[in-house]
Amino acid sequence: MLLSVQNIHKTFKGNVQALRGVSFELDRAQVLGVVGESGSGKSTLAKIVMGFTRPDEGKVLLDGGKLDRRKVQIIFQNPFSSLDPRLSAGASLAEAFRLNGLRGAQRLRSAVQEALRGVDLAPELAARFPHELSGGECQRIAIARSLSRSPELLVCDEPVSSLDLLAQARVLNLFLKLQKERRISLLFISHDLRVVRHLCDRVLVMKEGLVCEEGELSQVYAKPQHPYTQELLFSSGI
Amino acid sequence: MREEPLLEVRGLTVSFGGKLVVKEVSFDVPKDSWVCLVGETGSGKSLTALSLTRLAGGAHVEGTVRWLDEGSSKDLLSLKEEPLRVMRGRELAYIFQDPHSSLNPVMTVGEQMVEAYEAHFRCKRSEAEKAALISLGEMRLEARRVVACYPHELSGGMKQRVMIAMALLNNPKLLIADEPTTSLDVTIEKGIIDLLNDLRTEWPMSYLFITHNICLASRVADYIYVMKDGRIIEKLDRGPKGFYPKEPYTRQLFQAGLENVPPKTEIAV
Repeated sequence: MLLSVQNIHKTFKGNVQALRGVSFELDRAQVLGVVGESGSGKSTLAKIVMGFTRPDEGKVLLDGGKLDRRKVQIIFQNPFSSLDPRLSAGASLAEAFRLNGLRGAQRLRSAVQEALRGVDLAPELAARFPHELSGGECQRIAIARSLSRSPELLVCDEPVSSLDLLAQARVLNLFLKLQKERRISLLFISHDLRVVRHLCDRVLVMKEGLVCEEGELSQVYAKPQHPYTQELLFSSGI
Repeated sequence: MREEPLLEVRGLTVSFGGKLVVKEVSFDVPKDSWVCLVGETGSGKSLTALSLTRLAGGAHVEGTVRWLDEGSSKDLLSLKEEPLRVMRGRELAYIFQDPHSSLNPVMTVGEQMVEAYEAHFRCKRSEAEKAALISLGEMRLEARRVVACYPHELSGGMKQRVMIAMALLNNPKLLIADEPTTSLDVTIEKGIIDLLNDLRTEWPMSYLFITHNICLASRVADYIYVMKDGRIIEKLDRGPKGFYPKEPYTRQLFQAGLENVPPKTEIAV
């Protein structure tokens, strides 16, 4: 088991209970989908797994130990705001490799080229700035940058929600490839149950800060137990 | 069944400083029909919708947009600004993707709706207020509470319902909806789509619905026009079992919508 999340509670100012006791586990090379409506606590959960936000109670274990930032990376919904607008795509990637200890202009250049190829982008895109890239291209650059650290877990917070369907499909293909070839685990937060069905092995359904259903994806989709899961599936036309 | 056209678009071409963005687009919106314009980001679908009533600022628009109603016919593109302004909001209305930026943050819902009503009808304030309440109620909103709310006090789905209420205040014959559910959750999206479906059975009205999601379009539309790089590349009519795309690009769009794609397999796009 790679990630173990145990009984997480988090209350924000104004007594907003974002999470009220959330636990789950995630295996290596597995994709866990987290679904639920806006305000159900999905993004707070992502921030806690990343260590950006401290839980009031409960703990997050990676490989049975403390969270290691190098092994966990996050992908956000809005790819434009994840990239520095003043840096070209290549410079953003090179910076990530440099922070990782890679030195030498030639080495950095070839690492950037390889990183772009790894996310199915043409090497020429290295010279472009975020505003010269499409949403899907930006998101793949953000993924390439997160991969520069060879993470074991990618936390993806609505990574395809701002993309149109074709761009979304290309990013989904990329996630599948990463999971198979690099055996990366994904914690995949999404409100889109079709996307989750395509990508995930297991699914966690959240409502009002609680897990209302969890299980193997095929089982939950075929026989949803909780009325809220049933409603979500029905609304998605599944 | 022979369908009477309400809107006939012929050879619509939109350019910015000589750069063609919408190229020779032609389509029909028949009376009481639901027409979808589908395409990916940058395909020109939103610009097409805006250009129908010359709302695209700075654009050079050519072609004809014929409005056929009660035996008369007029070309919206050659209409003078004032009669066109009267038509917008009264005969045809728009709703957009982001309801939050369409609403004025410093006015209550009621004040905005009264203003919108008074822009088209000379009437007593009480009459406008009554119309606002009725329209909000038809959107399955708690009208009395919602009229007193400011936009930030409402959820995204409620705001979009308010926008629809405002758009339908004057009983237009055509509602042009540009990605109205794209920023909403699935359950909220379903609620809005069901609402639009119900409204159409209650009043004679046509929809021109713009979306990137062809699977959503195929659930609601009578006709789908597929746009790519500023052109319409395929028109689909609803058959007994839905839509049958012929163009490879349209098939890709259906694939990308994950309709009948085996899980965990590469999507053919």
